[in-house]
Amino acid sequence: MEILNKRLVVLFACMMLSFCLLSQSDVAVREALKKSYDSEYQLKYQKAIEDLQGVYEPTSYELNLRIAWLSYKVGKYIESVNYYKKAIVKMPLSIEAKLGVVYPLGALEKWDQVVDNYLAIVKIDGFNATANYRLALIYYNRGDYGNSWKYLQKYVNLYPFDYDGNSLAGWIKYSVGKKEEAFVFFKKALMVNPYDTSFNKVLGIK
Amino acid sequence: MNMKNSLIKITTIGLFSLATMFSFSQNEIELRNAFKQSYVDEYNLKYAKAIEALAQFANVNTYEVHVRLAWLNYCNLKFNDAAMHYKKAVELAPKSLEARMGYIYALASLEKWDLVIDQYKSILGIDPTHAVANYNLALIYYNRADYKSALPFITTYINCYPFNFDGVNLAGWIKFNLGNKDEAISYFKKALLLSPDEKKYDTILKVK
Repeated sequence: MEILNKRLVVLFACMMLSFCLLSQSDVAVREALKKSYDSEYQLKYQKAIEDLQGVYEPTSYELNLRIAWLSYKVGKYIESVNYYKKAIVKMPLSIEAKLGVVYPLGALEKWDQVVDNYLAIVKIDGFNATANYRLALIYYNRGDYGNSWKYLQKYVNLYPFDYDGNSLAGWIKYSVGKKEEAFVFFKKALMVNPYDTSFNKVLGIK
Repeated sequence: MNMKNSLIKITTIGLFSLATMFSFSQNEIELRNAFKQSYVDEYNLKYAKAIEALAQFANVNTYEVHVRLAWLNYCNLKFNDAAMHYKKAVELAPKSLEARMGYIYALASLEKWDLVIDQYKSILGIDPTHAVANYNLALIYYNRADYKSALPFITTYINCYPFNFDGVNLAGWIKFNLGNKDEAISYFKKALLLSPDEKKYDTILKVK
C-alpha cells in the first residue's frame, strides 16, 4: 500500500512537471535570447552572437534569423547570408527573411542575388512596396528602363503621392524619351517636395 | 522676304511649343507655392493655416490636393472633412493604398469600424498579402471575438512575417480562444523568443 502511494506521488509529480509547458530547452533558448538582446542593445553584436552559440539549433527559423541579423550588424556578411538562407529554407514564404538577406547581399555587392530575392518576394506578394520600388531602382541604374517601369508602375499606382516613386517614374520616362510623361511625374514630385531642385534643369526652372 | 517670314513664324511657333512643353503654367506655379506654404505651416503644427494655404485649390478635383487636404484635416481633428477628402482621393485613384490607409485613420477616429473593415478588404482586393491590412483585420475580428474570421488574416500575416512579436502573439490568442491550446502555446513560445521578459503568458504556460 505504501509502495503504491509512493508510486502515485511520483506519477503525480511527473504529470505536474510535464504540465509546466516550457521545457528546459525552451527556457535555455529564452534566457540566451534575453542575453543576446541585452548585448545588442549595448551594440555588442559579437557578444550577442556568442550568447546564442550554446542553444543554436540549425533547424530553428528564429535562431537562424537572429544570428543572420547580428552577423550582418557585425559586418560578417557571408555568414549572415548563410544564416538567412537557412531561415528561408525553413520558412519559404517568409518575406521578413528575404528582406533581411538583401542587406548582406547588397553589402557584398551581389546584385543579381539581391534581384533574385526581390523577385522571390514579388512572387509571394506581387504588390510589395519595398520590393517593387527597389527592383525598379536597380533596373533603372542598370539602364534597363523596360523592367524598371514594369515594377515602378505597380508602386506608383499604389502610392501616387510618394516623392521617390514620382521622381523615379519621371527619370525612367525621361530616359526612354517620353518627356511629357516625365514632366507630369516631376511636377507631382515637386508637389510632395517643392524645394527639390533636381528637376530644375529638365523643367527649365532657373 | 516670304521665306524669311515663314522661318520667323516657324521659329516662333517652335519656341512657343517648347516654352509651353517645358514650363509651368501660372496655375501650376501657384499650386506648387500653395503646397510649399502648407508644408511650412504643417511643420509649425499650424494645420488650419496649412489647410487655408490650399483653400483656393480645394475645388480642384485632383488626387494630390484631396490627399493633402485629407491629411491636414485629420491632423486638425476634422475627421469628417478628412474622410470626405480621402474618399474623393480613393475615387480618383482606386488602386491607391496610401489614400485607403489614410482614409482608415479618419474612419477609425470616427469609430466607423465597419467602413474600416471595408477599406482593409479593398486593400486586400488589390494586394492580398498586405501586411498592415491582414494584421489589423485579424485584430479587429479578434476584438469582436470573431476568432474564426480573424484566423485567415493572421495566418497570411505570420506566413510572411513569422518572427514578428505582434503577429505570433495575436495568432496565439486567436488559437487559444478557438480552443487550439497546443498551437496557441507554440505561438506564445515564439513570442517569448522575441520578448523574453513578457509576463502575460505566464499563467497559461505555468511559468512561476
